[in-house]
Amino acid sequence: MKRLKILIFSLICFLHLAIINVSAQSATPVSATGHVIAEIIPAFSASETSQLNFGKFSPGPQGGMIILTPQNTISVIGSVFKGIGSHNAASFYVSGDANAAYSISLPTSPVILTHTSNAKTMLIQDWVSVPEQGIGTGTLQEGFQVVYVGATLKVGPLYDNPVGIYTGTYTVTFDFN
Amino acid sequence: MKNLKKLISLAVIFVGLTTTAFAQVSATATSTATIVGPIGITNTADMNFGNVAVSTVAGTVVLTPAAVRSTTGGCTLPVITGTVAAAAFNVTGAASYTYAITLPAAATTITSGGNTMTVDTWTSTPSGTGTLSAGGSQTLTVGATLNVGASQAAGTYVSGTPFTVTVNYN
Repeated sequence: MKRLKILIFSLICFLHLAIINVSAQSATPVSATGHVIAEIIPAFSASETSQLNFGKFSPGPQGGMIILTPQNTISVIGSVFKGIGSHNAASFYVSGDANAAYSISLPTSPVILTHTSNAKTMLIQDWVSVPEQGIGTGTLQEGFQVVYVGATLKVGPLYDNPVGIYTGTYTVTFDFN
Repeated sequence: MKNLKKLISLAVIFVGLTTTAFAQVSATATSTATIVGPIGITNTADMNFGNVAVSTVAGTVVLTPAAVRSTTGGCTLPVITGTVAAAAFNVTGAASYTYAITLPAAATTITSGGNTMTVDTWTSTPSGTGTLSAGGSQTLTVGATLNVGASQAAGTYVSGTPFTVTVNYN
């Protein structure tokens, strides 16, 4: 019986130590840090969210035209054959004050595309947009609007427009009234 | 009869010893109260208010601990939201223990070049007191309010000094 008592006593001591240990640990607060990030978009801004891309095609003997609508449908006139691959109407994200009206101006003269490895060129004309171009035709209903732009690409015969990639730049202007 | 008495006392002693053995086993299990490790906290996600459009009127963007945004004043939220996230922390420690959460008392300044904004009114889920799971952990998410000036300059604003969240056992 004496032996049993000693055993129990030592166990109690052990438990007691364990509890003391616990309360010592709990007295130490610990911290972690985190960063904060925010992106501010200017009062009135426009950025291209999708590039105008007529896709791949093969010119025939007479050349022709490729019409890409703002709704991203493509059609071909003349001796041009649409190839496999994607095409894209351009899109612009316009943001600013909610309900603000703004004007859209598309290129008025043809835009020239140049072959990436020689001087051969193609022309883009007949620019169209949704909403249509004009004074106050755009509205930033919830503080933003997406403007879609299409156009017509004039393709010459194979001699004038050899195989390759043609690139160019154009300007679309958005104005607050 | 004498023989019988002896037998009984032997039996009693035997039982007693068995009890001792049992007590020792269960006590050893209890002393494995080293389960109570120190409380720990690590940052698993930064806070991101996403894209905010401004106007000539100042405003605020309120980000909840559930990463839901709302605005006041001249701020609007563009359809292209950018990355929106509440800050997240992983708290670890003793199973089922409760702990106190201390959020920043002051504002944190975020900068983009020479431009600044402040972030304050910190909120968290859980709020005030957290309870660790049976597995000894809990995810703590933190939101706040972004104060945007009138015609605030465009740019990506990031905190130079991070904000601090502190936890401690109750």
